[in-house]
Amino acid sequence: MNSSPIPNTAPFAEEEIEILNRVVRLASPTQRAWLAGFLAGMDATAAPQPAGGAQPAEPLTILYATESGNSEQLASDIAKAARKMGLKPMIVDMADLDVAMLASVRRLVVIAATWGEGDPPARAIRAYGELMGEGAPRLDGVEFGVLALGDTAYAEFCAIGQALDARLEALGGKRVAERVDCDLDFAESAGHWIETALKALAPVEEAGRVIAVDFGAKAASSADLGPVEAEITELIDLNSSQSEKETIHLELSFDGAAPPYKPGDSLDIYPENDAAYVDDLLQAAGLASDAALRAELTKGRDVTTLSLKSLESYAATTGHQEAKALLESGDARAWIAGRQLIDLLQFFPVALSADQLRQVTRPLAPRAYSIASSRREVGEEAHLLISAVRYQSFGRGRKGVASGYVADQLKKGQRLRVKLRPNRHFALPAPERDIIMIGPGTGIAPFRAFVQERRVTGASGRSWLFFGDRQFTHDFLYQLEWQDALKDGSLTRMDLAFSRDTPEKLYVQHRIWDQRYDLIDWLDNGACFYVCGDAKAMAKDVRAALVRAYADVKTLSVEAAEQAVNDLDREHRYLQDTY
Amino acid sequence: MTKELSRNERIKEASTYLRGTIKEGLREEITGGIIDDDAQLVKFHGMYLQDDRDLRAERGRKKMEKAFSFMIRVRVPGGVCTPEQFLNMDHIARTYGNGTMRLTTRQTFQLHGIIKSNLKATMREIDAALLTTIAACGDVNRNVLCNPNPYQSHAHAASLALARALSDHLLPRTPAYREIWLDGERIVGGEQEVVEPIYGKTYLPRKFKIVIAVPPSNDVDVYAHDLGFIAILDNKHEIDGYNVTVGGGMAMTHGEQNTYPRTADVMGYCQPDQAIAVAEAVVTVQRDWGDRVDRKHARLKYTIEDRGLDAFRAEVEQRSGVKLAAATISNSQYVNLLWGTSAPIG
Repeated sequence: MNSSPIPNTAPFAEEEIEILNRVVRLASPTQRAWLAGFLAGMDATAAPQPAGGAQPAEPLTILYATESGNSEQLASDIAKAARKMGLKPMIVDMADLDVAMLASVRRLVVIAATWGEGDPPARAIRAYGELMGEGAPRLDGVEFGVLALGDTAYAEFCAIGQALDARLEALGGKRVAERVDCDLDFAESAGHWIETALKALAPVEEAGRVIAVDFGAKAASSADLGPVEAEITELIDLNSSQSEKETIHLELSFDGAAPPYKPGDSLDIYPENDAAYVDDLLQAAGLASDAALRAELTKGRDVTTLSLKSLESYAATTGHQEAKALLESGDARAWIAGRQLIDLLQFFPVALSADQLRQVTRPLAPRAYSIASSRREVGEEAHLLISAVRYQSFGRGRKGVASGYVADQLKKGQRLRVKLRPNRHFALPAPERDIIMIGPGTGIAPFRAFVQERRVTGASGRSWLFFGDRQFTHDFLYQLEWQDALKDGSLTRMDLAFSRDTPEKLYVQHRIWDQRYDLIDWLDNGACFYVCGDAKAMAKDVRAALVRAYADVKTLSVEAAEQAVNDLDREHRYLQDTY
Repeated sequence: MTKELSRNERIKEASTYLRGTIKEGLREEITGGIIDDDAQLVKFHGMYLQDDRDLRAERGRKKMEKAFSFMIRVRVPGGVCTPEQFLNMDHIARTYGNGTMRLTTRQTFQLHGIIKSNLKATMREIDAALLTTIAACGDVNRNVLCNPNPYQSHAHAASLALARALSDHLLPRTPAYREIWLDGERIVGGEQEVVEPIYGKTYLPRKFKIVIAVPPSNDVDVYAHDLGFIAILDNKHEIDGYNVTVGGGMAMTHGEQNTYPRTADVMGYCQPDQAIAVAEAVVTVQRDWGDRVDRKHARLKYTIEDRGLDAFRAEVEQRSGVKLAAATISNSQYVNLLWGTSAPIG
């Protein structure tokens, strides 16, 4: 029997589907027949329910587009709340959306994340394109509301949610809840929105009910454990001392059991800000002597991100004329590019109160890193692979908040806070299925977990890894481990692309093209295709290379080759974890 | 009592004329190295596998193998190349090497820091520049040196011509070089075909170096080489013939009593048109008489020392069909033929 007999499109919350699957998967045919009959009989004989139960529940479609899992989690929260409101929720992942079916929907909630430079999440690209395109169905009379997730650090904040909101209206939909755009600290604003939206969408007699969306309760559910402390038992810069890069291999151990992660999951790191940076910021604000504020900013506030929003609140709270002028000039967006909060304070200096400074910051969000180990191999540990981000802009040395924290502040023996972030869309397939893994740079991390897992479990499927970085000699991450994996068979093949070793830059997509015949052969055999790493260029280039490979090997038109890759998406065989 | 042949002898024997598994090793992307036996064989193709010693300590901790790269040595008889070839080498060094190009005392180019994945591209570009690296290292006749300064001596042109002719004549004939580096087709010959008429399957016991000295200067250091030709000029300043020296070499192994530096002996005098036949005979006698058990005792100087100059001369004359004249002509055309003196020889 299929390991997941209940589809994830079933009108249940994710964890409910998991529970049902656990029971139904193991049930004998007799048990299943009994259950079917029992459930059918139960509704027929049920006593009328006190409030509205006499009528069949009104369906509510909850559509989500997720990259990091937040939208998906919210979708399941909404479903839970909706059921209490007498609605019958159905959760649809945009990756699986048949756009035509939207025409038959009566109530629609959309939770849409915006990714990178205003892009839809990778898994939602196809459906998003169809919905925005000419072939989209009319949605006359569909009641809808959109909840947009994003990050104010990016210029195109919540662009996808905004575009979908406008599009649903243009297609004839009736907006019953105003869109809310959420930043990284979305919990509160999303909670309010869900309450408002569900009231508007619920059947009249239910709308008066008080519902509570309790986000605090999430921590108790098995899928979402709270932050835990971990000790750093190993911290190694894997790049050679002659490399320009610095990629930290971090080994964490836990006081008890490690968070119950699976290969493909991520771990959120709760970073602290750079002390020197915070000092500079306090100095610029005239608050250098406020020790409590220093501690608060260091541990709890995002003091680096400069967004239009923070520029606006700075201008508003200080009344700084030049900052106002910048906003009015229309050049603000260009001005903030490559700058941080410290630049704002130094460029438009004014003495701030602690509250004013707080106001232009947002809560410090954790940063997710793909886990680079399998618990079956490393026991109660978790390994991470973190590239130290360092660059210069506007005469100031900058670094990534989380990666700088790991690279510059943490040492072996120290502790940090982490939290499991499961990613069921990037999991290993059945052991007998082949896998192709594209993981240049730190994109290699989850594939180390995959190969470890497959080694320990003795999976029979073949594994093929593509890796790339700058220089073979100085940047070949985990080289000795891959050599061993090739020897013991847990890795079948490995192809490499180092961009700085040759006059012509060589990237993983070039190796995909070189190996296209074997690659398509593996895919025809049912292999899953995984891509992890840079979202901006690499993920797109890899997908384009695969389309060209299909077109060339199978003599297909570009459209047909694109369809072949889209089919992989649809079959959940093209899996992406990019950032 | 027969002693066991040195390991390198077995590697050469099994290599099917210097092929080994080099081709397969180049396809192993996961490592920057090649297996030990192939590392011996690539020397005959003009390269050494090396690793950055400064990085050795950190590599294992960083989960990386040794920082391997290759040194490639070109073969430039007499050290003469065209300006275009020099510029080509400069370009190759910048593109695939570590940005340095070394001009060596043995009159050739050396490139360092070439990683395995760039070896073939480097070799193809060297070939396109009409240069080669074959037998620049290994148990074969290496690059042939002569006086480097055409303005110093009228005889330079003739000595350069001889250096080139000797170099060409004593090149390995195996098609392995072309097959491995230049994607040449493997030519399958008949069983009877002699692949290496001069060297045979196991080449020489050890490296072999030839130089040609031209008056007035012994800048090639003729007594420090396996085989030397000391040009003697007639009164028109043309080359009359050569004093032939054998058995020089400065190397010794610390702590090994049976190794020592040795200046060459003058074996006799030959005409210019006899030089190649004499050189070939010296090479083949060393091929057959040289020590293949102890590599530290395998250079020609030990063969001469062990067998005696007279026996060696007799065998060379017999194989070459050249009766060497006595080296009676004065070396007074030279300044400082021996180190620090102009003492006559013979």
